[in-house]
Amino acid sequence: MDCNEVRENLVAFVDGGLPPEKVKEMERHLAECPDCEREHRKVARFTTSLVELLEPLRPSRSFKESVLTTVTTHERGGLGLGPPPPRGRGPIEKWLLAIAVGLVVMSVIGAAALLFRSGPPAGKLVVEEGTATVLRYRRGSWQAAPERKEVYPGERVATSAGSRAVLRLEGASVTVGGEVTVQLESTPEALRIHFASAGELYVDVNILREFQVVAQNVRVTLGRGAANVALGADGRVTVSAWEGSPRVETPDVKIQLAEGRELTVPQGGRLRSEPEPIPEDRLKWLGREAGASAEDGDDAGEAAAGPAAPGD
Amino acid sequence: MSGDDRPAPRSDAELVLASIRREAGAFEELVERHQGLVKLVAFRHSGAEADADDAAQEAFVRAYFSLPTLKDPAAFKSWLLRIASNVARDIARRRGRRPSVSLTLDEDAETPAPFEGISEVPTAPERLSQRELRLKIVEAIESLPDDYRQVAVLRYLEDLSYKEIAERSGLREDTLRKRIHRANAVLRQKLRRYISEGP
Repeated sequence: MDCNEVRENLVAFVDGGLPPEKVKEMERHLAECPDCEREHRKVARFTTSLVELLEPLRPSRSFKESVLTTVTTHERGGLGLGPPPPRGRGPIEKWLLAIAVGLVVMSVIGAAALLFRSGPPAGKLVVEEGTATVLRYRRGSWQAAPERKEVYPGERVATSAGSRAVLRLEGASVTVGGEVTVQLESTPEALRIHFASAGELYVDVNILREFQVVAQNVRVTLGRGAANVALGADGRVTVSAWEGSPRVETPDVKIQLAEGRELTVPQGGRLRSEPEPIPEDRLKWLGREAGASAEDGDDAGEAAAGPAAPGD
Repeated sequence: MSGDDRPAPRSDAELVLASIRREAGAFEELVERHQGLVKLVAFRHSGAEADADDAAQEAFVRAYFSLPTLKDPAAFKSWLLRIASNVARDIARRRGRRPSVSLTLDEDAETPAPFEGISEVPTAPERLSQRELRLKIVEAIESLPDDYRQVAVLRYLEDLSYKEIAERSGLREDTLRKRIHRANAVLRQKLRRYISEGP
């Protein structure tokens, strides 16, 4: 074996891709040829570096299975990552809530807008733009996010009877079907809004920046903490909170609610009332115990949802 | 892909049509065949390792449900890579990250760290962060001719043995060795400024 032949086989030699007889020939030549041995070391070093540097990008062993599982789940409508719904639905049957969450992501959080309008039936959520991420879901018991976590425009999340899903919305505009309860919870760092529809669809959103709520037929509950809330002439409710603010205050505004109900938010005051406390089991989703202080960790909910939060 | 003496694996176009017919294993084969390259493209366009896997998976899922709209099944790979780059860009945009092709240091960049051998080189290669270095490698791999790129992805990204690569690609082992040798030579040339080969 001459030097040229050795050089042509060096990469395969380093990679363990040569038949045993050729390996022996290569070893004999390299032991006697300093130039080829030097080249051998270079190839070996480069190859090792290449493989090591690319290792973090290697598709996981479960990659293929994850894709196939998601596709299968998607096709069966399982958790509800169903195929895109038809556009332009029929007559209005119910008021629907449309949430426009304009999230400027600071860590994982941004801003949102919420509105009611006609759309899919109760218990369904359709992503209009942006992305919704399924954090957890419950069918019998709470489970980690499905393999397919993100829901893109035109796709829907449909919870079957008795099931629930917790989602995070980032830069997303979604439409939620059914009578929806909106629950606001703020901490010094962030504001969470929880939507719970009659169809047992729960949506948790973490917000750091200003967002808007346009709501009709919505019951608003301000839970622990405080938020800036403003009501526009058109019934538009603006809620804002700021990142890193040690205290989020509320102007004195009234929020018109469905069925003649009204909620007053005192100027400059911190809302401490919990007219309708967040159910204990929901607090547990957020990684908190009922009655814990608002400072107990803004990211608790995110942490609980750990695997589902890309880039967290 | 050109097979030699081995029975050639089914073409992308055949697998696409079989997938549309819901033939068992067809889409699985497409995923297995292209997962590495899709992951690299997703990384290059999202700019973060953490997002690349999600983007790559999402690209396959989107592609699967859009297969019936693919006019030219033979163009599956380029179509799939476009989906992957779009998904990855969306993710990067939502995170406020600059396109990954930019090598400007950003918050995601890790502390520049030399790796083995770098200090021994008389002319030190450019010191890049690990992330920047990965981007350079990915760009170099993507720039390879298709035949070389395919084997380079299987060998260096997926870290498969020659036997496994031969089985998956349908190439004879001697053909495979030549292609990997060429791919390695081109990559060494392209990455010489960044990866030290030692003295």
